[in-house]
Amino acid sequence: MTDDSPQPGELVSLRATSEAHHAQLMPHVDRLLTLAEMVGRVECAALHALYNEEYGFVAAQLIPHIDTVEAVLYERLEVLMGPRHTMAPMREEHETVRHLVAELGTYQVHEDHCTWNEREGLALRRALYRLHALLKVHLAEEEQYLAVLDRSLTDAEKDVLARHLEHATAGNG
Amino acid sequence: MTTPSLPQVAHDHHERLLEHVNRIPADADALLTAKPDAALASIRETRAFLTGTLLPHMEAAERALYPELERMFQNRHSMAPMRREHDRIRELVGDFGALVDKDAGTVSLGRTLALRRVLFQLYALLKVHLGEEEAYLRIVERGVTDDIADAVTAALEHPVAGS
Repeated sequence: MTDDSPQPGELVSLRATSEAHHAQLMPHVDRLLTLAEMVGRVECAALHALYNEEYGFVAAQLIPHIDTVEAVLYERLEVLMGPRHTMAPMREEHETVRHLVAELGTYQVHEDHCTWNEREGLALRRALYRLHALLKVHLAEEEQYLAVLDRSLTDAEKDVLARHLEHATAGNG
Repeated sequence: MTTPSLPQVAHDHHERLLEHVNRIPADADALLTAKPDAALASIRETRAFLTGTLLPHMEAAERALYPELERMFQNRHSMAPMRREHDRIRELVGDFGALVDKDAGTVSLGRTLALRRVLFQLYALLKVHLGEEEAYLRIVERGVTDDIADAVTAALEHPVAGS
């Protein structure tokens, strides 16, 4: 097994680090659709494994990721772009993501008392589709902001941000 | 030969709509990597579906299905939330058209991101909206007697995440 982690003194690529994070997120984002399509079509018990896996992912990995991105990347972008541009819309989307993840969490009770009704099924599907739609667009936009940082910062500055990202998300996997 | 019932006709419409709707995420993702000609062709095809198929379906549902449901529910249940979703869908279709018309014939990253945003929002809305309409169609098929109308009303209180 090889150790790909950066060695002391070695520069860490911000672009590579962020893209690796996004690449890790995307299969789970796509599986939100798989889960949404299953709701109401398969027995509730059959949903639990995928629900637990994907809810576990968004709660334990996605939320720390967006917290870190806000603290590390958005603040740097706002400094860089000054008054010309605000990251407020992206922060607002993070708030909506947090809200939707909390909403998904309310369905954990079904594992013990599996009693779906049509209304709950539709509401769960609505939350899953909304979260999927938001993340698909948000992550693509974040990639463009990464390109701004990539073009604008020195290698040493990017290395500092990448290490912050790595450090803040380490241990969440 | 018997005339198809309203629920059967509406269900068949939904099946045809979903053939297009289910392709929206892949089409939206493809915009990021497609060559300009292919991207523009996909955008034109999507617009034709939205304006030529989806919007007329919505108008027919509002004209034929929703009043029938409200009559069956005898004012215990309003279709207003579903009509509001139709309005939101019309807004998004309008946004999509405006983005297509703006700088028509050109492809830019900003416009691609904006088009994807509208498409994913439409997809999320349509998937649940059509699912909810299917639930209503099952009610129309079964018929609703007075004694169960209240229960149906409670069960189909417009489901919104976080409510």
